[in-house]
Amino acid sequence: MSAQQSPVRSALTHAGHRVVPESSQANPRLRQVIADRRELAAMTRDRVSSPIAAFRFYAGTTPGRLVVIMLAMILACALTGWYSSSALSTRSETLATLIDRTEPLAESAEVLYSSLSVADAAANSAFISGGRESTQLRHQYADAVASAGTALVASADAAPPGEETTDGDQPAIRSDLALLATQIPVYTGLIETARTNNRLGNPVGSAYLVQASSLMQDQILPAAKRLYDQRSTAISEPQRTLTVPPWGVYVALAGTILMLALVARYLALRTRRHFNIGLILALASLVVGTLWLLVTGLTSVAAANTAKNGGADPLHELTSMRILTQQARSVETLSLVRRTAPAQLDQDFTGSIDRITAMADTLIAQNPDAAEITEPLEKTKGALHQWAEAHSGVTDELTSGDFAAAVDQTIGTSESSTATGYTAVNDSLLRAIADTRATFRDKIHTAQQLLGFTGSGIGLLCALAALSVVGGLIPRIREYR
Amino acid sequence: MTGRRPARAALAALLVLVLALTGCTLDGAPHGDPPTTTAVLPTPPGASSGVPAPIGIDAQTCDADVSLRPPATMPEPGDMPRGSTMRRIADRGRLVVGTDLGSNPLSFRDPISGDIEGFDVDVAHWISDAIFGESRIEYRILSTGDRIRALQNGEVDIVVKSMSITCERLEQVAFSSPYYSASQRILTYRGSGIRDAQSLNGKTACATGGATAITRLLKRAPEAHIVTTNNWSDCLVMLQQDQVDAIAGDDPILAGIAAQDPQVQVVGESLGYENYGVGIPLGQNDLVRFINGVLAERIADGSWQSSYNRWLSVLGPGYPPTIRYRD
Repeated sequence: MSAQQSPVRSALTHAGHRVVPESSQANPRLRQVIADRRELAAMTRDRVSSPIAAFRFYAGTTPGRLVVIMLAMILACALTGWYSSSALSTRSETLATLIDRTEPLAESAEVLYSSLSVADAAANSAFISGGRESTQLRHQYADAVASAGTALVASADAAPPGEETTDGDQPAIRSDLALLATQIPVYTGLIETARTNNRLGNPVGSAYLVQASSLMQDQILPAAKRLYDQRSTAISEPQRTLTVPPWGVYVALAGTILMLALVARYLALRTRRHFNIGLILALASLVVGTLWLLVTGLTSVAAANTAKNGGADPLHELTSMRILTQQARSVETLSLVRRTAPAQLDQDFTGSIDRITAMADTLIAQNPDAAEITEPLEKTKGALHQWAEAHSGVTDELTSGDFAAAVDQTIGTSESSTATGYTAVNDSLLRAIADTRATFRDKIHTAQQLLGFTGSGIGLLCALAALSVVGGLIPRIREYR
Repeated sequence: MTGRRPARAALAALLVLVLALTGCTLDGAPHGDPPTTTAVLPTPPGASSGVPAPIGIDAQTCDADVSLRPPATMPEPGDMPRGSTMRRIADRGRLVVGTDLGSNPLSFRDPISGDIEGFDVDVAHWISDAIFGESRIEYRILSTGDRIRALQNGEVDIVVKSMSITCERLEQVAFSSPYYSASQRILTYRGSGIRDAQSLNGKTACATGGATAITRLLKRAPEAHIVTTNNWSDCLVMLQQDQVDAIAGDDPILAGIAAQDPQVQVVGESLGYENYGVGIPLGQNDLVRFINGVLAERIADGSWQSSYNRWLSVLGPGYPPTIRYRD
């Protein structure tokens, strides 16, 4: 009993009475009072000693619960807003990098690769014109070498020596760039030696030209091709991630919307008001944000897909076709320099022409509605046909031993010369490449803009939702004061 | 004065210590290697070193220079006997001749006109004229090592490309009677100190693959390094790029090379003599006899001498090789 006495006494003394229970059969009502008081006292003590307990106590009351709900909703809205805008702006930045950096790099590599091929073909053509090549051929060669130089510098921009990258292929790119930088001057030196000897009438000129051409075909062009392949696959990488919808953002938005709906329902049950304007507003802004994301998400994915299917993929094919064109031209002209067994070189030439035609057919079949691809490609096919016909004319002339006529039909400017056919193929392919590239960049730009705006928009809408929650819940909380 | 000495010494010691410590703590900034590199000059396609020299020369096991006797009466141009190899060529409409373009002045393409010309080419023209009455030739460019293969698989009708008549080759292809007798020598830079074959020991010499000059050179200079190329122009390219010290070859070819570079000269005595013959597939004896007839006619009518004067006069006066026939 004595252990029970002291708390009871203090409580009762505090009440101003001195009540000492006389027996265990005390008044049951009194015992109830004592128990209630004891409970109250314990609660008060706990509240004073522990903030967590205090919070738990406060959260148990209706206004407290409302405040907690409000804070939770603000936090949820803020997190969702931050997460959505940063996730979407990351995507947008990926696309911006694609336009500002990756794609220009791929373009430089493409220009490098095709300029070198053009230079080789032009050097051979110039050589077979004898000691004096036409000004136009000379310019074609000089321009191609100059373009290769600037394109090489542009390609090297992205690969500083010690760059830390997760890309394991970086050393390979470095060594290819170094090979190009050291061997292109060697190549041009050999070409000039060949040219001078050719002009002096020294047959050793053709040996220099063959050496230069084999340096180009065996070392320089393969390195340029590896570089181009690396850089053009880099274009497709970010698109792969882009075509996956931003699921995380959807989940976050849906979660916040669900929470808001539950809160609205709770309020409707607890208060007599069925609608809370603030919560409705918050719900509305989040729903608008979700719809916005849905629409732009789909649009940007569609734009990115178009960029890939109507831009990057055909671009790669078209570039390959252009390189094949240069190779066919190199083979054709080199066969006049060397007069090797015509069968082998003819096979190489016909093989290249057939491959270009087949690629053109495939591209046309894949993009039946893209006029910017099909129209120049139809032209290319026509020019290819003309070129092949002119080429077989040259072969006939060579076979009958008429070297002069063969040279004339190879580098002359007449309608029936292979030079005309080659130029037509090259020009129409160049146009297709330029158009396709524009498509690619436009579509990626659209997707990037859409995603960028949507990111900021959803961020703003979430902020609005948070404010609306505050505006909707503060009056309810004040009602309890 | 003496009392201050220890103090100075201590100060100096302290200074040294401090400087040493400073020096220890100061590492130089990390520095990478400067981006210098060494140039690798390309070699002409097909150039290789350490290729075994052809064997069996200068140890003639046969009478190589004796060829089949020409027919008593040569057929008229455009009217080849039925069933003959010449008839087959005439029906095809052109003579397929294997040669190369880098053997100035024997066979090369004139850069101005674009035509293939030279002493060997003249021989091909004589043969074509005798078959067709005009020049109807299709050239196939052959590297030295490809000559026999091209004859054996029928890629070409004849090879006229400074092809020496050897007993070893006679087992694989047939030859006409010799149309030229060449002397093998060394070509090098003026003032290089190389005067003869012996001074090529430890140096590098260039020749086309399978050239008999390699064997003769290695006999005189066993320590010489040999680089072989597809054709003679490539040897000049390698000489001009300082990749070889000398070129060993037949004097008409060396003369042609010397004509293209004023800095080089032909030195030393002859390593040996080579008789050039027209290469013909084995078994086409009618063609061998026919070509021997053509050569005999052209030597007799002075065409040989005028061709020599046009292409090879730099070598001094020249005479047709002595010809011996068997039946």
